[in-house]
Amino acid sequence: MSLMEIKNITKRFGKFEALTNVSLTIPKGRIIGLLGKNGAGKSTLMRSILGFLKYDGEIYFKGKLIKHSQHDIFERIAFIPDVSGLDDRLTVQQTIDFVASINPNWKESTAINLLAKSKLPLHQKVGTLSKGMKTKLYLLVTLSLDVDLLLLDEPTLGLDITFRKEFFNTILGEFFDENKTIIISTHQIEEVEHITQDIIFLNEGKVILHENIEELKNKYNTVTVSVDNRKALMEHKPRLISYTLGNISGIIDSNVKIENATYQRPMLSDLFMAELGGYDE
Amino acid sequence: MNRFWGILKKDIAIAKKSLISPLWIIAITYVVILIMGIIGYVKTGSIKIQLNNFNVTGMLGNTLYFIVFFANAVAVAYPGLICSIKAISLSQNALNSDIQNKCEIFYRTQPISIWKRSLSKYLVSIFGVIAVLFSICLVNLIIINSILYFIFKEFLFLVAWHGMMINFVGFSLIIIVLGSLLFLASSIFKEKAFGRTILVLVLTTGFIEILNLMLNLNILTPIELVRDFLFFGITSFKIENIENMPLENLVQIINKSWDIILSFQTLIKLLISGAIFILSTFIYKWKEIK
Repeated sequence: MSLMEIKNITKRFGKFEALTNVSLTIPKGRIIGLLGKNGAGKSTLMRSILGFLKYDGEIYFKGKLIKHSQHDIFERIAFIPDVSGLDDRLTVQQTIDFVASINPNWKESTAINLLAKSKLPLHQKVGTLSKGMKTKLYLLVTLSLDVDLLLLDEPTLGLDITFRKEFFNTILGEFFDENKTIIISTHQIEEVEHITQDIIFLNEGKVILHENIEELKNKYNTVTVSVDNRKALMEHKPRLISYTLGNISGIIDSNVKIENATYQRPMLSDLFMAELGGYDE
Repeated sequence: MNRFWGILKKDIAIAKKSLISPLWIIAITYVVILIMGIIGYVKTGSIKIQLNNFNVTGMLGNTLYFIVFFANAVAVAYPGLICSIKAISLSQNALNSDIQNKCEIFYRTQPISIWKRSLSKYLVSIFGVIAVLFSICLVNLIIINSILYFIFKEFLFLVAWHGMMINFVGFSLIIIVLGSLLFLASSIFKEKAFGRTILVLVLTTGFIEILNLMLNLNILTPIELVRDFLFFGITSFKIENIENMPLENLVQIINKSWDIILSFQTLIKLLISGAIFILSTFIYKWKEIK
């Protein structure tokens, strides 16, 4: 059984259609990248799943229909938003105590373990912490919950590279297992490429691709030829073209072979651009 | 229950500084009075001279009962006013402060119902203030009656208690009514709920007044509605020349005051306040989080 079924979701803000007939099946035990340009509808989809928005269509979580403002789903779903949205008025200790007191799935041992690693100042107000420390605290209170689905909406926005790496390492080390699903929404594709198993591309509110990353990468090659050999490449209608010094590269089907060409597995960002741009010349 | 206690504890922690501020204001007032007393003592040389100005011996009859009653009742007015302002300030931010502090999503993604979150905020911003007012009233009761005992050598606890409690309950009702109205405003407006509510009330009242004038109508204005809601069931009665009043009159005043406060109209006010809480929570729940 799938963890979540999203059926024909359409969300309008006035005349603007942020999501158009989105349908997805989210399986158990996967790390899924939700990718798209700014304004593609990633956050709207996340907020619809969380019941923050009213929409046309249906979302089922573990077979049960999710309604608007339904609080009990948060016993099984956790969320980290794009901005550090903790309450600046509380201290670190009060924040931890609050989340622990209202969540039946709070895992004290995980919290203690994460707290020991984090070096968070317990009696300091959240508002006085740096963005990195706030993110650590958000991670601590979220990963200490035993939930089935973790939604991350641009969670590392504004963090430096050290914090970003630490962030994803912590999630993989402390949270993920074969029973848990993580959906990471981001437009920084290269950052999640090495950890995601499945990929969803959103563009202008529509799902343009939902596939296993390995299978997707096996379908295509990034082929590089010299500019003199350009014609041979163009015959195969490459999906994305880029020029480097004296060379031209393009994404083409993996079963196509061109003489004197070099082959590479395509980058996720290139595949994404290819999906958005199609044939580029 | 444990989960609700967790929310309540969090809301109390957030509002703690604001809740105890009336205590500080009253404490500072007492310190100022004390300093003025000391200055007076230094200037005049003896505090007894000041006390000699009271015609103490002539007051040891029924009049003392009236003095004790009214001194304790009037002493509630100042903290009552401060606490009413505090309740307005807290409840106008009750449901929108998480949005202002950009932590709404954090709370919305916790497994607690919006009703419990809302109730906790309602209790802290209204009944939290009432609890603070009660504690100030108790301290006032002790201080005022100690002073009265020092002057008149009589300790009339029951009369003092009635004097204090009548005004305390009266102010508590004002806090509940005003607090509930501002609680509703906090569910509608994201910020500056008090100012915007006043603006809406004034504008709609002005519009209705113009309509009434132009079309010769008699439609109740929003300001009249709020006024009626606030003072519904409250009637005044005249008290003249307490010096020669029999003690029965004080009993009558106390009974009449309790009759007004604990009336059917008060029950209606409490029910409407409860309905306003429910409406506010519905509006808050109904909104989308974008």
